Amino acid sequence: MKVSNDDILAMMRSDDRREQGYRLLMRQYGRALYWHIRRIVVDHDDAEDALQETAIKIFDRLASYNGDGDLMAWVYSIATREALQVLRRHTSIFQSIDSLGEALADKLPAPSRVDGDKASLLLQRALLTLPTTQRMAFNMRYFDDMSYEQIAAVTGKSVATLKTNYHYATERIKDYITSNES
Amino acid sequence: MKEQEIYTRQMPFNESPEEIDALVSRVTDKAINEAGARRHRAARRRTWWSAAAAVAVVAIVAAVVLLRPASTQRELLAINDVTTIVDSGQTQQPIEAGVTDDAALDDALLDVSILDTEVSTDVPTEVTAGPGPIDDFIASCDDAMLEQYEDNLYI
Repeated sequence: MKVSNDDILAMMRSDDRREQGYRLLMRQYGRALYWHIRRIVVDHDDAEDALQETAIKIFDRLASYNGDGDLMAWVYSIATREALQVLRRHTSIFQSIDSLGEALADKLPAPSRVDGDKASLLLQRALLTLPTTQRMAFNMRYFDDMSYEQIAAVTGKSVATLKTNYHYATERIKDYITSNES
Repeated sequence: MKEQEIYTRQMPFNESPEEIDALVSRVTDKAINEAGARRHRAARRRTWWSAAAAVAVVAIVAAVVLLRPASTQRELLAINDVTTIVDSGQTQQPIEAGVTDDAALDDALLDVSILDTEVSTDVPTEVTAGPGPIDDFIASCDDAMLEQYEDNLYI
């Protein structure tokens, strides 16, 4: 049974039903948050760490959440920050997280151990050649089926910028797949 | 947003939805426990800070109560010394130790000032001159001697 965001918020703001509301929220969005984080950090253990931090921050901050905007976008924005924070831990001081593409691609499972088809693995490798902002825009648009407005609320970027990011991402993915198909 | 299946659309990962649900349940429990533990720690910190603040207030009050009268008494003792010197055995009352407030202290200092003036204008009431009582001396003088005595007396 799906509970409305308003009901979840009302529970979270009530002292005696706070925990119940939080559990409902995590049941509703937990799996989506995990995959959102996983697509950014790739590694399962890193995703678990980032999800744990996300869960704690949501619990701490939900009572003070003013209710403006989309609740899903709000929890996604927390998850995005935590995922990027985990990626930053893998970089040196002067290194950008965009340079982690190859290292992240190495964490993808080998084709023989994966249930999915080879094309999905190729898509993931193509995604990891993109700058992080383009990759996140593509992930949320393609995998999570989010609107540009929702993605804008998560990332803080304008809709126009996100459309451009998505366009460049799809172009580069096509190029990668074309040149790596055998 | 569509059904949750879209989250795993074409994802080349092995984790099953049940595994992810179990993970979400685990992190949810941990977040609730962590928040509870943090609230407990925060409450304990607040208790410590309250206790420390109370001790500090008591210490400050004690310092004010104990140190301020002591310094005032030292000032009064010094004033009493001056009073004693100025008094030179006369009937001026010494300033009582334990006068602590500023107004009383000002009054005491004013007394010392008045006393100083009184002592400086004090005139001896008994005059002695020569070897014997003045009446005997005057009686034994003739007129020339008496005239000479009076001349000497008013120089």
